[in-house]
Amino acid sequence: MKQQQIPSAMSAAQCSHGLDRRNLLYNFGNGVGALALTSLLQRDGVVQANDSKVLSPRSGHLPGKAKSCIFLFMSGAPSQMDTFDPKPELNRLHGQPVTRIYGSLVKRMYVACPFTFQKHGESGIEVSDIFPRLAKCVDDMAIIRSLHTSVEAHTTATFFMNTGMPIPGSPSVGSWVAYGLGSENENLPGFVVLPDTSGGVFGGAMNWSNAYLPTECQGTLLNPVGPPIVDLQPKGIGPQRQYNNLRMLNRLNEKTLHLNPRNHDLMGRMRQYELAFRMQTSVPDALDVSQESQHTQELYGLDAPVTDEMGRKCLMARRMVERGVRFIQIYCNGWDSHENIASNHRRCAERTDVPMAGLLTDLRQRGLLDDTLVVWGGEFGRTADNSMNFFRTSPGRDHNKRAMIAWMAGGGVKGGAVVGGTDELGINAVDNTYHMHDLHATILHQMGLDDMELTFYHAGRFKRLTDLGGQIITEALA
Amino acid sequence: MNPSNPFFRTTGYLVLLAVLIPALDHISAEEEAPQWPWTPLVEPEVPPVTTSEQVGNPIDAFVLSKLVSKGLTPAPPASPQALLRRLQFGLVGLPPSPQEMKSFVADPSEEAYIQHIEKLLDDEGYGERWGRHWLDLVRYADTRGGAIDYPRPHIWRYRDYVIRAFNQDRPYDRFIREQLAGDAFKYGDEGRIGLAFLHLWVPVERTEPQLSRRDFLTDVVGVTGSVFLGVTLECARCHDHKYDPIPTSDYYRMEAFFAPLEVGPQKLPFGQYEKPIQNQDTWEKQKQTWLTLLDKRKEWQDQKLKSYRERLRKRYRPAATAELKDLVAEDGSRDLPTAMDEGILFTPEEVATYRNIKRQTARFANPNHRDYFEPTAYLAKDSSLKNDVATYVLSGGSYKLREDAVEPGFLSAVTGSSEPVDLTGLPGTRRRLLADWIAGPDNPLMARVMVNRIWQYHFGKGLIATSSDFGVNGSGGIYRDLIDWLAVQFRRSGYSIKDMHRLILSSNVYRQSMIHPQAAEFDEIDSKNEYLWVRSPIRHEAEVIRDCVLSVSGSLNREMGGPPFFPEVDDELMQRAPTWWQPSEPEQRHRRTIYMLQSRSLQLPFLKVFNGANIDESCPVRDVTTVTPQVFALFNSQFMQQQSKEFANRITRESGSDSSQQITYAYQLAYQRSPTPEELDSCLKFLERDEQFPATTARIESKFDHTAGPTGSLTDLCLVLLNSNEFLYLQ
Repeated sequence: MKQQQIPSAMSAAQCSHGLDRRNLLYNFGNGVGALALTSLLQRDGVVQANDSKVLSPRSGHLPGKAKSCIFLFMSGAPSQMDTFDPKPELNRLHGQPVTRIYGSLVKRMYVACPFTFQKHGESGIEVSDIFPRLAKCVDDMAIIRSLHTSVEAHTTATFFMNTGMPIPGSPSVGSWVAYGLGSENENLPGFVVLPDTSGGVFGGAMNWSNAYLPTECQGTLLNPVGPPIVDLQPKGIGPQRQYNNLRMLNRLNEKTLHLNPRNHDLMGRMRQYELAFRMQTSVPDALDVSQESQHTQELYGLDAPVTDEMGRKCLMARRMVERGVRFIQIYCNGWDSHENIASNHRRCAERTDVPMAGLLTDLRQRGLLDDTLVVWGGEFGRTADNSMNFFRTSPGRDHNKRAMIAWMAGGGVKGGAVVGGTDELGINAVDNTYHMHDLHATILHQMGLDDMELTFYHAGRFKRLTDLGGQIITEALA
Repeated sequence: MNPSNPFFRTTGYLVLLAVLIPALDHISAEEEAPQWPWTPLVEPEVPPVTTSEQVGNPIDAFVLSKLVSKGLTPAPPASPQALLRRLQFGLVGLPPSPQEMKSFVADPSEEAYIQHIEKLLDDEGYGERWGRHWLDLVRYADTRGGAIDYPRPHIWRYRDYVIRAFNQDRPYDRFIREQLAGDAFKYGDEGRIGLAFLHLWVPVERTEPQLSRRDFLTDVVGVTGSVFLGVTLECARCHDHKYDPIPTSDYYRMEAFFAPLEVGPQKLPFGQYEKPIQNQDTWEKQKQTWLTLLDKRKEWQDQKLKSYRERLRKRYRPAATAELKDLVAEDGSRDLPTAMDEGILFTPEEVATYRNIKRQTARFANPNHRDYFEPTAYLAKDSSLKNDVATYVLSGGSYKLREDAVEPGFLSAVTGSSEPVDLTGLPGTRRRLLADWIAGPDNPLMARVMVNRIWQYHFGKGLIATSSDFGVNGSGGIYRDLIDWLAVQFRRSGYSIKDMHRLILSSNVYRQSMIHPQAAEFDEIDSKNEYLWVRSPIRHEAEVIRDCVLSVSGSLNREMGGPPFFPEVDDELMQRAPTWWQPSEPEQRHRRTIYMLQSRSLQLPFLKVFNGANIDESCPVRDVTTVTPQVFALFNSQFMQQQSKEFANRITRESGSDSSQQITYAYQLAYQRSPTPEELDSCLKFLERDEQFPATTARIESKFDHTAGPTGSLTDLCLVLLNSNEFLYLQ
């Protein structure tokens, strides 16, 4: 029963690629007699009645709480003990030597948290003073302190956080969601990625790859500054003429499909052309934050240079949520703090605190928070100690896969909750520990997808985002 | 292991682990006999096959014997049309002419096929096509990369050297020796140009010079391992390799070969094969144009700056407060940027212009740049005075944590011993010893890796799919015996890459069709076609698509070599470009993509969306993804609009005004076949559609657009043809 709701690769490849009638009416409302055009297309057989698509919206396996997910990826990996998991014991041990294996058996020094923590909200959860605004939203958030992952190098861990595997070649969590639920908006991609303009992501585009899932499920990269996509619109060719060209291209392509019967990319290509055509109007509109009131812009921090980029991306994400985009991933680079955790994390928090608090506040005010799952986290956690040479100059923290921090909000998440805990130094997740696969399973669960059922047959077996399955983080759920 | 177990956290337990784990590793490593690909290269027997008519050459015997064991049969041969396109794109990356196709379809005999292979191997486009594959591997770029992406002037000499090496079929072992140690062999200046291989790393800004040196050595060792040996050496930098038999000490023993290495740009006269000598007139002309351009730009900038300064002086001098005096220096020059940056005196537009100027002058007032046409090359030498030649195993890869000292030595998994090499009486450099070993007969990896790469570029996928990782984590391995057989032939031919093409291309497996009558059944057995029972689909690489568009439209300029051209880039993108970008003249821009400026900080979107190589690191396999931005590049971009127009012009010029003839000619140029009656009919209807929907007459706004030609439906048809599946995929 459940599997019938979700198209297999085979049915995706066989399904029609005609333009959707409703979209034509929507897009050609002005300029061309919509009715005349539609009848023309019907005559040509371009518009078809039973037009099932990979991204057509459908219900998941379960009654999901969230319709969309905004994934705030703090690239470089934020530290747990300097954000949401206070470790006063570290202050006492600061500068004391510890000999342990980090790469090899080495002498290291414990590093105190350079920030102070205060209790916030009714829940009284302690939050580091680098997040003054976000701290006010703590009653909307479930902090997962006992999360851990499998790898601790940036690239492999970034792949793991995105795809559940440490090597490239598996679909991203956003691709799985788009595959499982389709998109509510046929004019926008189901899965969108807003990168950090300061640079790339560890591992690059493979992090939002559809891998073996249908190509429509691939994340689409939109530049938050400047033109979202280069050559989104052709210069000097009007929509009618372009539509004619598109129709002709589809017709020629159809005639040669038999030459390449085993190439499933070909159908995907034709659908990309249609989506691209619709995106010419829908993308600029979705990203146009100038349509927002000054009050809203300020709420997201668009009035200050330091918060402008992140604020813009968060506001764009909200606008896309409103338009039914399933999965929006926002990257914020720069959290890798081997040296000088104090200035690094303060700077990173400065860039993100107001925008993220603005996002949660705005979602709540608009009644969108219940339908929108917001997830925040990096690729791994950080260590309680530091190498000797960095400690002497400016103490920082190295990579740690055994404990890391994440929080969720909205979309059926229990606000003001703290899940699990770490040992007294924040080195290992100890109470009610959850693995990255569990976080993935929980995201899917909140979106109405069962991670055990959401499978795709590939390379001889049914593949999953969570490999052998994840455990739902029930303490974080309302 | 349960991390919640409190015992896990006790230090004593960790120490115990630290002692035990390496010990366990050591025991297991010693017990295991070396596995392929570390084993010596021995020629395997060609498997006996009963169905001899399907065996074009021994390659087919290897494949057939595997197919039979899985209950599979090979696909029938591809059509002559598909086959010629396959050869043509595989070897030179450009489409055949309609005439060539016509004569091959008329006579697709074995002889004609072989002749065609020879013709293509002699075509200079072959070096451009295969040189590009090599440039992917060595992470070639014309700029340095990193935070300050300044150009590496004359690095193109290495690019041209690579193209030459392929065209001249330079023996692969010599090609390796030149790139690793061209200074130590008697290969003349030509060999020394190859040394730029050692200089293609991406420097990261570091505060400690030792770290920069570490970055450089890490890069050089890693890339040497992956490119020539197909092993992920860099994994062993911080710990023993987790999967392959490479202990950390081996990593540092390899590094020790490079310890005295010193690289950098130096004067080196142009050689007889190089563009400036071969084509002196053009060279001088380009040089003059370049210098004039620089002068003009300088003049314009100076004027602009002068007027800004004037304004500063006029407005603020009379009322100069102490604060303003701080801001504006006597001559108005020193602190102009501050006034600018803070927008005190000028509009945001003016500030932008000023920043642009600042960027330009930073780049082009650089004396290096007036030397752009002076012969420079990236040379290497060993200097034990400048460098600390002693090499140590570094704990966790950190230069501060020295462990045992090591001497240069080869991979112990291959040689079976960890003895250092004999450095006494060493002529030249340590790298010479390394190059001799890598390229020599005792190293089985070099030939195995290279024949697999050649296979990959012909089939879209290597026999080992991870062509730079032959280790346990690599994928593939059904056809190890075939790799060995090919590697032995490669060695026997004196490492002739062209001979390897001849061998592979004359097999039947290369000539298989993409259509198999039993495909549905066989997909159940081997859906990924690991066994090669059918031809797998190949989409052209980004460069091939662009070259092919230019070729079909008739704009392709086949001029070879020399400094790179600047491609056409959208204005919006240009604003973000950290390098100063001046699009070259159209004629230059219409050269093959391999001659395009490869800027690490600004990759042309057209190449990027079609999975162009990531030029920051060695790229052994291009991804193939189908994404929406490809539509923007191929359907919407100005470049494609101009090329469709050129294409339409060419058709009108060469085939007359009859619509049917125009369409037929367009099909022949784009696909080297005639349209079917049905297609012809569709196209004719499309051309007539002007009456129904008058084409937008708005002129394409472009400063590059010099051609006025047919707009409207024929141009649109051309654009559609260049976007079709048939244009992008091989059949």
